[in-house]
Amino acid sequence: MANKAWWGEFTFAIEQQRCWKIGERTIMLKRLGNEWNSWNLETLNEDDGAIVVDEPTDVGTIETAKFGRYLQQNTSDKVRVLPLLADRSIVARPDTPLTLLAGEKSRLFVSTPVWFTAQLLPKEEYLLDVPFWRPSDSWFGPSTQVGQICYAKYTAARVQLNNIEQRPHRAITPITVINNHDKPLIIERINVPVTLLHLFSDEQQQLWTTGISVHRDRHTDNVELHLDKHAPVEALSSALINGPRVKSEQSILIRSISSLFA
Amino acid sequence: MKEFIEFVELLKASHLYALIQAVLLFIVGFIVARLVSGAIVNLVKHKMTVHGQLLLKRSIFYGILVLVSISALDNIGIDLSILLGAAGVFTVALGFASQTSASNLISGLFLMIERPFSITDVIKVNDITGEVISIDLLSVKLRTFDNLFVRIPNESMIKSAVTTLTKYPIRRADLKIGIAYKEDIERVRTILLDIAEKNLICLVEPAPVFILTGFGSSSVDIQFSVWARRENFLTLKNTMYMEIKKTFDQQGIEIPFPHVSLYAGTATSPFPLSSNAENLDKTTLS
Repeated sequence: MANKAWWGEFTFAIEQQRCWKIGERTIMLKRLGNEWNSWNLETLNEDDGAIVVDEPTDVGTIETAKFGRYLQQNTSDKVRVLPLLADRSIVARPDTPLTLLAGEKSRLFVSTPVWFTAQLLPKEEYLLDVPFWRPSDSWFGPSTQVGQICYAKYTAARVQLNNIEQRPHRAITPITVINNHDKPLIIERINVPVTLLHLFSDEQQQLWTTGISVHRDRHTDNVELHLDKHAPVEALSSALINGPRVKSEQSILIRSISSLFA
Repeated sequence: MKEFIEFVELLKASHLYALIQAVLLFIVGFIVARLVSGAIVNLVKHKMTVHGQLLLKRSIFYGILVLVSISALDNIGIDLSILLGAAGVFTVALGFASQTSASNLISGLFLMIERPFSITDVIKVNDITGEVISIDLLSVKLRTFDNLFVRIPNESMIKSAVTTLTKYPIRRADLKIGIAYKEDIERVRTILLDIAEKNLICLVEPAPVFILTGFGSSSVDIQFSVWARRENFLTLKNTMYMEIKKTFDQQGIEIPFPHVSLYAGTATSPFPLSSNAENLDKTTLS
């Protein structure tokens, strides 16, 4: 568990390079006089270690990584590195299908992967917006004609918070499901609209998102999706880290039940 | 000066003046129709699809043009009610004279109403696959992937089956695989599902489908169906086939090619076959 934040504003001198590492997974930035260079070394398997910020002197094995060049007339010295939630909704599934009985309420915890972003200051231009581990594509919807493209993999959905492993490259979303319908609600998969959520960090530097409440009422197939305004209560002494990718004025959205649960 | 005024008076009295007026009205109307339709489409450009824009532009353009034409005809003293009466006779004559064009025209209208595809969609008609670049009254124009321009008459579009490849966001790739009879099918199934799981552009849902299609002449035939976003369809097919070949080679799973065994029946023993490279070389040399 990383106790030191890997995000924030970083100052780069010319020719200085800095890298963010989880095991072998490495993202490196280097400032030159009139260009920025980035190296993105991906690995196949997810690593649960801490994210280490380092200042290597040589490029070394990273030469095999995906290389990017960003040209500027004169580079500025400040870069803001922030975690950001995924650019599509994420589907998570509990270990076994859950049945929420009629008239009941439950709180689930879903962990989803975060993206690494680097913005040049003061113009806030994006240098990088990459996932630590890219989840697989997936489809979520009642049929192959109606639905949306989302991500699956590298997720977990648990009823007890203790059962969710806290990782520095994942954020936890608490989801409260209220089933006021007279029939039970079967949850095999949950579609978490992470693009609408804010990102917070707690005192342990664990990432959290705003909570979601799903209200399912009697006599309707639609559900109300309430987006909380604050950090969840489980995140102690939390601080806002980053806003949502898609800004939404409304805090209550109406969705069809099939677009959230399957 | 006096002569000029007299000339204008004379012109006014003759039919020529009305005719020039009508022609001018038509030309101005044509320009106005173009400008107005273009301007309106520009205004609503961001809210509409390319197809919708084209439809709107044409409706406005032809609407204005018809009104202007009626007004121009009225100007030269042609009574429209007589013209409409003559239209019945005219239609029969036109019908015989331009059967194909009329049929294409009607088919074009139906195509526009039915909208089986829009501009920028990729469609397949008979053996032609390409991107729709325009849907006109007489024909649909396609750009094929080898960058050819194909014009397909609307009539044949209505008559034949048209497949729209870009209708839905996801597509299924059916991979045909053959494995040797000696292989463990259950193991192959696990390997294939594992390859699909590791491929990031292969959709997790709908899940990949493993179908044993039958016992072929030299292999056990398998269809492995995987889903991808339609823009990743070809990449998925390629990467999956490459990954399957690589993994099968690593795991020692044989992908057989057609075998032919010569066999002389049960009563006789099989032909004794042996391969000897040295002997073969000598025979070839002598």
